[in-house]
Amino acid sequence: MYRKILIANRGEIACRIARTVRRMGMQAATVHSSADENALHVREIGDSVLIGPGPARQSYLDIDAVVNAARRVGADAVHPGFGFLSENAAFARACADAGIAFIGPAPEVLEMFGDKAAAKRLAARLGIPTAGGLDAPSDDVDTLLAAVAPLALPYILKAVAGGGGKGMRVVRDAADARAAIEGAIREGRSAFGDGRLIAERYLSQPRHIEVQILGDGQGNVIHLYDRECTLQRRYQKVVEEAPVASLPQPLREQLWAHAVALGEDARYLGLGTVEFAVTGDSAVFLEINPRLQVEHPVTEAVTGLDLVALQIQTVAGRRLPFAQRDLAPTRGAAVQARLYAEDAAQGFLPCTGTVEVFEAPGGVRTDAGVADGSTISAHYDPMIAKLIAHAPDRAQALRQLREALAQTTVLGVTSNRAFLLALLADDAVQANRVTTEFIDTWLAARGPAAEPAEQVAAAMALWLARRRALAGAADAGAWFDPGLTGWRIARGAQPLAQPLADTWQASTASGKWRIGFGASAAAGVFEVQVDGRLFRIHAPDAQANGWQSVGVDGRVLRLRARAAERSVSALVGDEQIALDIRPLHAEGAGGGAGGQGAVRAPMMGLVIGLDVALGQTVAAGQRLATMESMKMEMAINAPLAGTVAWVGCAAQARVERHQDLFRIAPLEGAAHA
Amino acid sequence: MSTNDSTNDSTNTNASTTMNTTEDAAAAPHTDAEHNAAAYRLLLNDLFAARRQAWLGGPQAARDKHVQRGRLLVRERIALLLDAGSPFLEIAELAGEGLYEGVAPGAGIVTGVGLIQGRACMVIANDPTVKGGTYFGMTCKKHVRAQRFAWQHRLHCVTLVDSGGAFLPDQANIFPDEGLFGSIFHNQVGMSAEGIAQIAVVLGACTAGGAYIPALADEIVIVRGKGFLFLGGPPLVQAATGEVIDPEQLGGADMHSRISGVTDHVAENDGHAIAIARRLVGELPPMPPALRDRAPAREPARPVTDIYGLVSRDPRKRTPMRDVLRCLLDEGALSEFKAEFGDTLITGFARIGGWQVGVLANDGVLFTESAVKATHFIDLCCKRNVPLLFLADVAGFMVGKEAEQGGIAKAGARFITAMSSAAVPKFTIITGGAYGAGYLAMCGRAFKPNAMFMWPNGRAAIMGPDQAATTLALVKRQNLKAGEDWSAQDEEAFKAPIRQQYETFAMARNYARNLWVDGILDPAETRETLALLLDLAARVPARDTRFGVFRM
Repeated sequence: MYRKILIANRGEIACRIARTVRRMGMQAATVHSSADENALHVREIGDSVLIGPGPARQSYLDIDAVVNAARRVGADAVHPGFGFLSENAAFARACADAGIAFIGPAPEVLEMFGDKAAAKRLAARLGIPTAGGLDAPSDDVDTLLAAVAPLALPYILKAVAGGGGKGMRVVRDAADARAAIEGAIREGRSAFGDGRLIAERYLSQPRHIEVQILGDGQGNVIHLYDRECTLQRRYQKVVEEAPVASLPQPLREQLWAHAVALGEDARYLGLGTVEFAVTGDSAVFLEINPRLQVEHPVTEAVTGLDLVALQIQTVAGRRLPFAQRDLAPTRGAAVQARLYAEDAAQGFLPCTGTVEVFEAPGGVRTDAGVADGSTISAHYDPMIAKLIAHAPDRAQALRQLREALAQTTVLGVTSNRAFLLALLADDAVQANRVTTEFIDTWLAARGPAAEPAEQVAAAMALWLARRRALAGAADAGAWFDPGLTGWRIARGAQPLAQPLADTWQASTASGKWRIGFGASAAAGVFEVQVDGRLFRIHAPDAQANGWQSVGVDGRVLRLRARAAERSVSALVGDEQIALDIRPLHAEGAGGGAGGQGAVRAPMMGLVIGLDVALGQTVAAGQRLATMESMKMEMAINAPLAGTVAWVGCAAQARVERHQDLFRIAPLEGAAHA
Repeated sequence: MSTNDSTNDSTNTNASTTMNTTEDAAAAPHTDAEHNAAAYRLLLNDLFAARRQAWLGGPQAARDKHVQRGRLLVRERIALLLDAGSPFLEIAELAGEGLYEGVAPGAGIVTGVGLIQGRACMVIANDPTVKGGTYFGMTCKKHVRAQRFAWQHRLHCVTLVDSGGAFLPDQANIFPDEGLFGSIFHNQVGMSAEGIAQIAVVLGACTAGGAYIPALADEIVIVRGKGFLFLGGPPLVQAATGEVIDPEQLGGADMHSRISGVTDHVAENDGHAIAIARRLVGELPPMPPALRDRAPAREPARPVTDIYGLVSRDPRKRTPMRDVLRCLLDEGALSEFKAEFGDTLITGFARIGGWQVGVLANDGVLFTESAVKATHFIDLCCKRNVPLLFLADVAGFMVGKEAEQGGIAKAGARFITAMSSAAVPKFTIITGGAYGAGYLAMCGRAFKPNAMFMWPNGRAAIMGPDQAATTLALVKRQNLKAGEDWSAQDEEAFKAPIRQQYETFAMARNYARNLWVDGILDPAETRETLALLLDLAARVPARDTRFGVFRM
């Protein structure tokens, strides 16, 4: 075995690998970028080398820096985790050259499986069905356009080095081909440094099923059963489970056999995952992931094995720890949900910021990458944690997982918790009648996520107002008494309704409310006016940090809130709500009430294209700029028709979340359109 | 807001009407307390009606026009300026009521204390819907009163200027004397010199004298296209020099911010200007800490609304002050001083809203013993730096041979010397009738209490209406020629108008209108008002008291 393993990764997986490494009696070290100096993995592992600035390309993807770090800490092996350099053959070679073991397959194997085209050719040679299509990769737009022309629609473009949905585009209309190719090339280059694409038949409504394999590098390969990861959104897995429920046994066994055959032919070393798309009783090979998977904990749960330990042991010893026939049958069912810092209401935009509170309940396995105070930066995957429930059967596991999610607290950044809760509660998910397109269809049918009700906005605005007032006070004297909130000489025994002036504006990405504060009617009861509607709110204690009950017109809400400079994020029951709260006539707005022409950056990122100039007339919905963040592109569109009255960004400029980018002056007469 | 005014107003009217009806229907008064409370309701309804008038400001047409120009009404401006949920302690809300034709209570200016960025500030805001925000005599007095309050409590001043300047026909009450328009400038300069910030927001045209209000401020925000500032407006310039010029070039935001340098910050609209003003206040030092300890505030022993039933509806019958105190003080608790001595004046330590006060409350006419006790108690409070609270309900000092021989003039003088010299914060509330030297000794306006309010039933005058009528009738009778007859009927006909005149003069509304008090308080809002006032006073460094000569 090894003496010291450098974990060339971050977040929950670095923490998780370190736990196993230590348990196996070895030392663990890790690396970090300057953006991760206070990250949980650095703190937990305790021995870390700074390898560069925030952008992954200059740190976690910098081969020399990582190899040097391994040398510096005296590591004799490197565990790459997943993502980053885990499938990088050059890295595996550099490790070998430095005399450091790479915990994964041989560089040649990585090269072959890292190239989707080569992997498909191998599968075809072994008689495993594939999705066909174009298998000569290219990064030239015109070459690709010519090559895809004869393909039947729809087809899918995939970055040859791709993964995690990046660099993928489905083409359903030949007219969209050029834009799709350009976008996929750009994303592939940006995410993997390789813009080459392949194209293949797009399978409609498939399930995503995969087989976990383990090989000794000598041609001996066993499988560790199967997993289903059909619940995906934009090729990003959301919920994963093991074993696959409702799969005909012959097909299941055939998939195991295919996976083992591929591994044996490649003389596969270590852990790998063979992915298939399954429709009905037939399956096609998709690709092999030559590394540990995000969803490995569900296999661990049903097999009782520690996959990371097996991986290290097998790679180190070049010997399978047990034979296929010695593998015990799976026990029960396991389901994993990925908790991300992303805003389901805003097209799942990643949310950056500080995780003020993260609390997960006991009873399920939680692999967390963050702790209270951790930063979710735009540089990396915004995962907060994985929650894994294991129970005697699938229904119980799902129930446990929902219960755990319901008791999970994430404050400071918006999370997909409410989305996961709703998704897991769906009948189709419960019955496992899903395909990889299910989530998109389900989201479309569900319509936009429910906006926080006015009363919630009122309670939160009040909470923030009280909090701020208290923060500004040298000592909380009578002027800050809750009982004197909004007090006027007009409020004796017969309070007179003085017309309330709206003073604040609370907004989410899609909703906006005008807020006015009235007087406290009785001790602890406050009047808050939201869009002209008056609510009587029973004092939320602005100084408390835990859960509290807030009475709003007789209805009691359970609320837990955290305040930032200009916003308050709160959990209200199952929903997490983040409100931007600022004076109605904000100083920067200049334009005055409403400011409906202001266009703000939805998140921190880079402006990669500016499409309009000052004074230009734009239609509602017209693209003003393109931003890139978290390796995803997004269009910044005009909220209304008008002229560009102000431009606050430039191409290649970094912008902060909620930074004003444009102001659109409404066209005369079109203001109410 | 403007579009809702009438709606709200009528709603309020309906609400109070409904309430009265309900009460009448629910229970016709039987007990004495119920009769008192019913009488008090009428007084309160009158007060509330006046307040509604004050909040509206100018006439509907003027308000509509103002809003149509994209400008905010004065109370909207103040709401935006203050922190969300901040209390607003309005001063002289009803000043000027009925004094000037077509001017709502308030005299065209709103003044009061509220929190801005966590700092208690004095807000002084012209109401341009009231005769263009011009200054009448009472407008000047109110502005000056607000400044004096600010100065005394070291409160930063934010002035929202939107005024056409002096109302020329009232020049005698505006121009020549101390305490009028010129004092506004003097106070600005004096406060600025002491580090009490003066921030002005120019939201409308400021001409001539009006231009100096912002010009003498530490920092000026001006609204582009709406705010103007010039010593002479375009018509005057044309008349004087023949120069034809538009207001923008003469004194607009751009001119003053780019060329003359008179103004410091340009805003695009009212809301923007107020946002800038808030930022400027945010740059000021934080609110100083309270220099007195505050205990947790506690509810009184009896509901404060019980006061309505306690205050005697008949001025000839005494209001039981000890019961009133149980409704006013925290836990109704008074740590009484010399309870058995001079018991027509109640003295003792208590807390209101958690703040300690030394209470002096009348419970009958002032005797020598009461005055001696008051002197002793005031001295105690000064030594211990405890603010004084005077609750005035007094017919005056005792008269007659026994009293004079007992040296009541000497004792009264000692009381007045102690009260006048006391350098601790002083607050006065006229809770009943306060007459003659009694009114003065209970820290009348002349002794500059930090703040002075009156309950709606409160009255104050040199003497009571009956005494005045009787005294004047006696004088007349003495001057009758020998044998001349004056029938009882004729005497009553002589006395009635005198009584009427004194009654009208003594009324709380008359005192509030003339700014002889800072406002009228519903007894039920007295505790909150005092808690806020005591808080402000607690943040001002203590001064040592040096008493004048005590005549022994």
